[in-house]
Amino acid sequence: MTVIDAPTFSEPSTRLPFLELRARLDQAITDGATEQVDEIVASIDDSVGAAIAARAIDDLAELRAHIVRLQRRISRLNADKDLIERTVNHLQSLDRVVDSGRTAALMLAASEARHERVGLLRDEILQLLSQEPMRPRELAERFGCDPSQVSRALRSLKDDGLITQVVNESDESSDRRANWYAATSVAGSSGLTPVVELITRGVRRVSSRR
Amino acid sequence: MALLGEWRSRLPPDGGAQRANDPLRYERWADLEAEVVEHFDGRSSGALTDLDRHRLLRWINGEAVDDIHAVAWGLDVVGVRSFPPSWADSLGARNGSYLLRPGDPYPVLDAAAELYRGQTLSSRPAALTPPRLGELPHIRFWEAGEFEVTVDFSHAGDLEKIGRSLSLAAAAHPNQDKSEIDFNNASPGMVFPIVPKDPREQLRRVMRLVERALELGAQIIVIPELAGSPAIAQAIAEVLDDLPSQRLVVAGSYHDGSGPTAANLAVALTPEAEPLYHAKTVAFSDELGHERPWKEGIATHLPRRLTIYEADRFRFCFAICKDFLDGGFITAASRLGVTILCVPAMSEKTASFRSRAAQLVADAQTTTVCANGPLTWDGLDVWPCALLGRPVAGAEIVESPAGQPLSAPGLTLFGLTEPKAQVESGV
Repeated sequence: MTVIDAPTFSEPSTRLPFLELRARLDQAITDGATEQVDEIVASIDDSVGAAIAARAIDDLAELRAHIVRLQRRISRLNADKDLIERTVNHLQSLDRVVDSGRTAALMLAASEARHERVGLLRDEILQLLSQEPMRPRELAERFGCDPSQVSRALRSLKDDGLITQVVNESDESSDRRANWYAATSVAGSSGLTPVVELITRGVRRVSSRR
Repeated sequence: MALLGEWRSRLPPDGGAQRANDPLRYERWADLEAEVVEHFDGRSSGALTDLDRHRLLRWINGEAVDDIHAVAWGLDVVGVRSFPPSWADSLGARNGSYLLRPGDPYPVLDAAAELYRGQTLSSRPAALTPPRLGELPHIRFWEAGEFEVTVDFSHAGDLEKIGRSLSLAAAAHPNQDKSEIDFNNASPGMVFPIVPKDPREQLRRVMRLVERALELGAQIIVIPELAGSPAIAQAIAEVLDDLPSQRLVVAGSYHDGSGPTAANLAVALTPEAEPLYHAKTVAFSDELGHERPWKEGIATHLPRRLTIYEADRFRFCFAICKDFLDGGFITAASRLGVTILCVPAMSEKTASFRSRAAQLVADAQTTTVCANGPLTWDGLDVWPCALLGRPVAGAEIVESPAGQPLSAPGLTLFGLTEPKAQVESGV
């Protein structure tokens, strides 16, 4: 089971309320007030930039909804066609910017979540390996996570000296070639041989044959 | 995607099962996958640098199927968030639609995590319908089946915000008893069109319910099957157009005889956008309790047609009553990774809706909002008259309260993370 973290909220928006912005834009286009139209679109542009910088995914979704609504509305207005086309094009390009900004924010958030998950996994895996040796695949299945997360967590635990690779010699049915992992604190107990020790034994055997 | 194609073309007959039982092969595969994830982690786009290309070539330099698969798998894990917009662009359907063809790859995402923050989920993202031979965690391949599926990207901007902010859903119940509905029987053994007996009163009730639900903050409102009409849809659209925030109202369905074939048509509305439609694919037969079988006089096509409304990582879909009870529909919806399913229904028995919603929760983390009406059939209460399916541990299925009778016009309100539904009678 997965517990999802509490949401993070972006800074409160200081944008003009949507209906007011929509009414102003309608009016400016109907009046052919190009400068005013540009000013309003620039304000949306600013909001998009701020939301991307803040990686405010909710705000970006809201802005995207507003932008598509404005595009449709403006297209239906009975006004200067050139001005309508120009404004719609500008809004379309803004829609693209929002889309890529949102994707970037989501990718970075996913990356952070993966790192955080590896941190949590480390503790959970260590606890489990203190009870019995396990193989990476079993761990990935147990935690229902991607194999890369288990690999990362195991490497990190190994680097810190908290776990070690072992061979479960007492289990005749097991695949001896496989990497088993156990907490360092219990690896020396009966039936478990640290891989380093096995390698050393092998070296000794080779030496004695000479 | 090219990598995936390469791997699929070399896929061994056992599809990698042998690797799963070979610990050393598994570890080698997992280590390479981890290396790929680590290399690409922390990126904000899917763009490749020269170093990336060099690495990719090094990783897959050889004939090893496992290596190609590990790289494709790692890229899937690290790049999944960029799949939806890339998918729309690659199909050339950014503001349009695309008919899925057999063999087409499509992404599936774990959107439930975003809807249920802070909650313990009962199904993991990994529990999205398991990948089949040649698939990746977030990439599926469409197979020919009984459904012809169209993916519609044109409402992505409208629906994404609804998906992201969904916290309250409402089922609206404009009708108390079956007697308020006119079951026309123009020809023997067939009922079409089924309409509310008093269209003006129906419009008045529906509008009151919709306005009340909007006032309460519901982002999704579902009205039961055959409780709507084109006039009702038009009136709701006018209300929505003046809302500052995004909402989705499934304005029930109605029997439509205006086209070349008779249909039971559900209409869903968002502010200032073209309506979304779903035509019922499974007609009812003898559910009305008459002595001899009665058929719903609508045309059903083969292959059956289904539209998925794509909104970045949220995937919306609609089903009308018997569609939802159909095994083929449930399989298709879970394979497609439908995130939010709205079900207008009209039935005297709703118990089987639970199992369908539960199946979708388990297979695809689908959030289902179902509204059934009328509330009583021949004087007997229909329970549940509304339900919410959600992948939250402890209460996957939330039903309209049994001990708290609802009278029409009324609302059943589902807080997405609340364990119990609330009702409001006599709106």
